[in-house]
Amino acid sequence: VSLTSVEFALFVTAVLAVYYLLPGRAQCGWLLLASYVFYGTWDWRFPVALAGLTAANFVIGRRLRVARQARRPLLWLGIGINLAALAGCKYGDVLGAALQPLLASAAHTDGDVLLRLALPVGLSFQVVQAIGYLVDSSRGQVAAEDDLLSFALYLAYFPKLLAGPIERPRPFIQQLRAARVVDNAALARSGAQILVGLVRKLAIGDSLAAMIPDAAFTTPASVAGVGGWLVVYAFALYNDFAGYTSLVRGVSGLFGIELSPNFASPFFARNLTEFWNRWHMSLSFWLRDYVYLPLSRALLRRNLSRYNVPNLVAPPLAAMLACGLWHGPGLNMVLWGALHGVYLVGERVWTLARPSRPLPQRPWWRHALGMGRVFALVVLALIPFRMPLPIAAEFVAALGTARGWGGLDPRALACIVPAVWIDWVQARGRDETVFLRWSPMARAAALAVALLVLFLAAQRDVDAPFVYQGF
Amino acid sequence: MRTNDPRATLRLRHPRGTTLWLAALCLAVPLSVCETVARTDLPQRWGLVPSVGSSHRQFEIALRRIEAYVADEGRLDCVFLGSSVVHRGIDPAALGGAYRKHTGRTIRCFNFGIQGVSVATSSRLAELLARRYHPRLLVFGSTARDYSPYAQHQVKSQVATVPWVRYYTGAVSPKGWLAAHSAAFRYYLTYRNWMRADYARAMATRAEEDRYTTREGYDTRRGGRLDVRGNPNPRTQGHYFGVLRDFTIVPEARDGLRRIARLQGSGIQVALLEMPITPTTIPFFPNGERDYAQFVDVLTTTARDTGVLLWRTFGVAPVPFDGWRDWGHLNTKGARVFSEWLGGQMAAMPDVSVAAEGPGNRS
Repeated sequence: VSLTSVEFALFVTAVLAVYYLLPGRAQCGWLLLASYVFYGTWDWRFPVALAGLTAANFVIGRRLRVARQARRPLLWLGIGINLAALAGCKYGDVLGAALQPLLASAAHTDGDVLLRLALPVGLSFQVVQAIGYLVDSSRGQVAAEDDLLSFALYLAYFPKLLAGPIERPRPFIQQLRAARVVDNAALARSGAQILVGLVRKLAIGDSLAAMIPDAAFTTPASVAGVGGWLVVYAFALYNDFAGYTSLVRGVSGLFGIELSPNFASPFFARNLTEFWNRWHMSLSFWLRDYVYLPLSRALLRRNLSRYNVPNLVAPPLAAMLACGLWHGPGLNMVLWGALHGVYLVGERVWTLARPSRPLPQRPWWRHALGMGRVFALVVLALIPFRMPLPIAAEFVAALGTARGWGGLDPRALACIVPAVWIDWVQARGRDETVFLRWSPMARAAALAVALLVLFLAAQRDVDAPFVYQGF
Repeated sequence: MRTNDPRATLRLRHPRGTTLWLAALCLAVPLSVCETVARTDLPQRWGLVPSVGSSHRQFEIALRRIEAYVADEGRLDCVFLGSSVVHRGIDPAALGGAYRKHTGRTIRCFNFGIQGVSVATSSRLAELLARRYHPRLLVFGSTARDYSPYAQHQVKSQVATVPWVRYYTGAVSPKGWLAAHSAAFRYYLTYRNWMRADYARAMATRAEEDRYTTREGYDTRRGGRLDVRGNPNPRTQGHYFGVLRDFTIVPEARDGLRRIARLQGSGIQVALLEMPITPTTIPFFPNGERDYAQFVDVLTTTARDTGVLLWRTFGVAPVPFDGWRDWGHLNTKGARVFSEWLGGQMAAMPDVSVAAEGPGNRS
């Protein structure tokens, strides 16, 4: 069931109808059942895999909380199991291809023994949440009582099951244990989030993605203005994922459960560090807390100097390489992560070498320059993100020619301008549902436009799944 | 839902709904203006064309042409329905000329052959044509290929499942209703894919096809000349004959044919037409002539059971050897000769150009 389908809307309505009638604890059980049913609509094997992952992590988490000794090996065992599950499914093809000659010679077969496993949708998100749970359990940050239901729902909760946001165990499980309230304000907020999410995804993201000629990212030399199409792709990707996040946060709000935000107008970031505090925030904060900070602390224990090269280089590079590998097994994703790592290292070195005024005290033109620089670097890094390395090389070569830099398609501007306007309004109001604070007439006009745009978008022959469901 | 219970999750106060009412007003005013303008001739003067929301280009053009034709002529004497074999094989102007020559009367015919439609989808279209345009005679032309498993699902989703088509064949839906009743919506549907990468090319192709389609629905571009006395080239024509390799009559097609024939009872005269095939086609069936006889048997049985007219053409219709565009379709020369022959056959019928009440000729 796609999240933008009528079937999903009916599913949510049915789940909500029963949910509101049940008492607190039973609500969690009902949500868990609904989540597994929802997951099963994709593939009946997915709930089975998720149940296995849940059971394994719950058992290890319990042990971690009570174990006095051998806590560290147990933690690594748990992390290893999760990573192995992810690698087995996500990198199965790559591993299989690499192992094929070995297996073929050992089995004396023709070599058709690829380790092909189905990748459950959203497994990458479930695995990082499970690892977060294990680490927090080992640190004693998750409540000690045994609650399989809450933990299972933490991993399986259907609004965030397919592509996050990546939740932390403690705040999420606390919400499950507390009384949940959906009043008029919460309903309006959820409605606004759903509407903004649908507009971002269906009217903006899908439209931009549909404009890009296939050849732009397969045979870039044959297409004029590939630079422009890369910019279009950046906005398409952003609005697709930001739309997804807004939609699922709105749906979750109907259940009285707040999910973490993922985006905060990232293209208005004035430096790369700020960008990663605004882009896919739930993942970047996870990487910060479970990769960057532990590594930084370990390195600082050896050498306290801020200027020590490993202290400067290793944490951002490791975090961003992990980010790349999390997105996919290809070398192109490694390069994308490495590029962002190098950006962050460069920015840290620059800041240390030339300390400047804090961001809020800088003049507007420096903000504008910073935004332009960040946008250009992020968009360039999308080249290996979007295409395999050989084609990425062709793409870069095409960018080096005059033909690679045509003007932006006016149709793209018709989508990008509203997208930037939505970002600007949200950033200025410091609230993604700032529209609710508008006057009734302005609010009604915005609602009318959104409904009309969605209705018109629904008529076209374009059907695109959420990009991040693929991760 | 326990909205007043302090323990309940859902705690709603009765909302005033001001925003919703105002939003409805905000939508109603501009949409009413758009609808009013769309119902004038302004959009046509601006060069805009309406659509029913199908992604089948030629189907859209055929619909626009038949709407305009019926509006101009006031009535439709006969309509030809079928796949591309009909679309490229029957020239209503040539047929009308032959008919006039034999009878001295004018006949208003339209070619509604749609590229790639199966028999089952054609039955849906036949129903649509009968309900919407009330032709006196509906002629369904087909070849054995149309009954093979391969042909069944080619463009079904582009034609038969279009909400507008479904609406006019009895399956009411909001989108179908809107496409049927809102002129503004129909204009928007033409340009609904404005964001697609292939939009400009699709619009250019549509404009070209539109230019070459006559007011009677016949595509005048289909030229080319192939002498069918030689053997087909398996490399270039393999696809066409490959379809016949697993030939069987699928029940879905047989049922579709019956549904078309049964329209005879609804004040419309129905005729079945065996469209011409090249003599070299028969050996490509797995069981040769036996398979072709099976197809003919389906036509004959259906015609007999439902009392509709059947025109056999194999070995009868005078299609010249150089009258073929490819191994399956007539070229303009072949279509002209065949249409003139068909016009002669129709001239022998009770007058469909004036009144056609009562049963048709039996096969």
